[in-house]
Amino acid sequence: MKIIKLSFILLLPYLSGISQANFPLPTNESGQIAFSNVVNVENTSKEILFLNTLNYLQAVVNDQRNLKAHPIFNEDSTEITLPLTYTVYHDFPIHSPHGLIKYQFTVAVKDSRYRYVATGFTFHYLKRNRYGKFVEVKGKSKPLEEPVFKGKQKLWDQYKEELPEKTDQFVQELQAQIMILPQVPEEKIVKVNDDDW
Amino acid sequence: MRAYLVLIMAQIHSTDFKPLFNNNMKKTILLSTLMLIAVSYTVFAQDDENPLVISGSVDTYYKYDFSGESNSLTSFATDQNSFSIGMANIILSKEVGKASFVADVAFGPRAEQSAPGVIQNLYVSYALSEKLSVTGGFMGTFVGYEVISPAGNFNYSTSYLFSNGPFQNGGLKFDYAFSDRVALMVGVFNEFDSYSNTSGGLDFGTQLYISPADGWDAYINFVTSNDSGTEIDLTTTYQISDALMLGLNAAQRTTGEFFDEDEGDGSNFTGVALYANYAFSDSFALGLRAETFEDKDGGVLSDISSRVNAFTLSANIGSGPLKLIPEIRIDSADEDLFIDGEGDPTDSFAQFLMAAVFSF
Repeated sequence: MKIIKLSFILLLPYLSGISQANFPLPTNESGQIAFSNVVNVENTSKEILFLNTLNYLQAVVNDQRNLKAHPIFNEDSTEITLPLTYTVYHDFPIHSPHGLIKYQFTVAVKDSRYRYVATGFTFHYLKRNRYGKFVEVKGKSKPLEEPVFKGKQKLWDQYKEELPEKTDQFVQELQAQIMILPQVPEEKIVKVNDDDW
Repeated sequence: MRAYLVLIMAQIHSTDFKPLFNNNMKKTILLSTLMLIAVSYTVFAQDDENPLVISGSVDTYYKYDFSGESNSLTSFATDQNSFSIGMANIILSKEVGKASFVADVAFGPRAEQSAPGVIQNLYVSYALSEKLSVTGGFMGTFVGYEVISPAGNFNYSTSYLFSNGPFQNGGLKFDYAFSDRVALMVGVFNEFDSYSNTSGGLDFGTQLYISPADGWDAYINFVTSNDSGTEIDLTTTYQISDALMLGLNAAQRTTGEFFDEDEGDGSNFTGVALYANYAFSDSFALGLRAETFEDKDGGVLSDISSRVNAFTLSANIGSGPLKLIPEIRIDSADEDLFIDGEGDPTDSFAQFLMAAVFSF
C-alpha cells in the first residue's frame, strides 16, 4: 500500500505535466492557434487608436533589433500588422537557444474600440554558424498546431503553455499605450493693449 | 561565485603561480573553470531578456583504416584503430543593443590542429545601421563549405578543400545586407590562422552572398594573401525538399610569393566537392560527399603533383543533442600517396569511422 501511495505521489508531477500539455489553446475557423479580443476604449476615435498603435509597434521594432520587420497598415488606416519574434530556450543540457517563435500580431481599430489578433505561431529552428552565432535555419519551421515534436515533446508542450502569457504580456503593454490621448497645447491668450505697449 | 572563479583563473595565470602549473594542467583548470562559470550563469540567465548564451559541443571517435596504417591527408580524426577524442568546445556570446561579442574556446586534438591556441573565435561586432555592421577580432574563416566544429558538418572527416584552406581569419570586416537575398562582406585580415600579423602585410578578403531562390544560398569568396596565395571559392547549398539537400564547394588557390614552385613548395590547388544529404526521418539521415582535389605542382599533398578522389558516406543518427556518425571513406589517387598493409606506397585507402558528437 505504501509502495502504491509512493508511486502515485511520484507520478503526480508527470500526470499533471500531461494534463497541462493537453489543455486546449484557442483556435480560429482554420484551426490555427489564435488569441483575439475586442477591447472597448471609450471616447477615443479610431484615428487616435490607430496612431497610438502604430507608435507603439514602431517602438517595439526599434527596441528589438533582431525583428527586422516594420508595421504594415492598410489603405484605410484601420488595421496594422506586425510580425513578432521571441527566442525560446532549452534548459538541458544547458540554457541555450533552441529556436524562434514567430507570429503575426494584427490590430484593427474602430471608434471607441479595437480588436487584436495574434496568430500564425511557428517554431523556427536555430543553429550555430561558423562564427559561433546562432542563426535561423532557412526553410525549416514547424507550426505550433502540430501536437508532436519528436525528442523534445516536453519543451514543445512548454512553448504552447507559454503562448497565452507571452501574448497577454504584449497585449497589456499595447493596452496601456493605446489609451494615451494626445495632449492638446493650451491656448495662450495674448492681451494687446493698444494704448500702452 | 563567478567573481570567485574569475579570481582563481587570474591567480593561476599570474606570474607567482606559473611554475606550479604546466600547460596541460592550466588548460584543464581553464576548461573546468569555464564549465563552472557556464553552469553558474545558467541559473541567472533565464531572467535576462538578452542573456549570455552558452553553447558548445564535445566529440569523440573511433577510426579504422583497413590497411592497418593511419592514412590521412585531411585534417583531424587521424588516429588509427584508436578510441580518440576530438575537442571540447565552449562558446559564449551576448548581444546588448547594437553590440555583441563571441568568445569561442576549444580544447583537445581537433582544437590544437585547427587554431594557434585555444581561441577559435574571439570578436566584437557592432551594428552601425540596420544593414551595415562591423566586426573585429579573430573569426572562423568565411571561405569554404565545412567548418572546424564537428557539430556544424554532416560528415565527421573533412574534405581536402577544407583541410588546405584557411581555418580562421583575424581582422576587421564590414557586412552589408542589401536585402534578405544579397549581402556583401569586405575586410582586411592577418595571415591565415594567426592571432596576430607577423608577416608585415595584410590580407584582403570579400564575400558575396546571394539567394537566387527560396532554399538556395550561394557564397562567392575571395581572399588574397602575400603569404598564403589567392583563393577563390564557391560554396552553395540548395534545399530541394524538406528531406533532400544538395551542396557544392569549388575552389582554386594560387601560390603566394614566399613559396618556391621549383622547390615543390607551391600551394596551388583546385578542387570540387559535391554533397548530397537525405533525411529519412528526424533522427536518421544519409550524406554522400564526392570530392576531386588536384595538387597542381606538389607541395600540398606530397612533393609531386597529384590528384585524389574521395568518396565519403556518412549517416547522422539521433534527433537530440547527441548525434552518432558512422562513416565509410574511400580515397583514391593517381600517385602513391598512401601506405598499404605491407608498409609500401599505394594509391588508395578505405576507412571506417564512428563518431559521437554532443551539442549543447
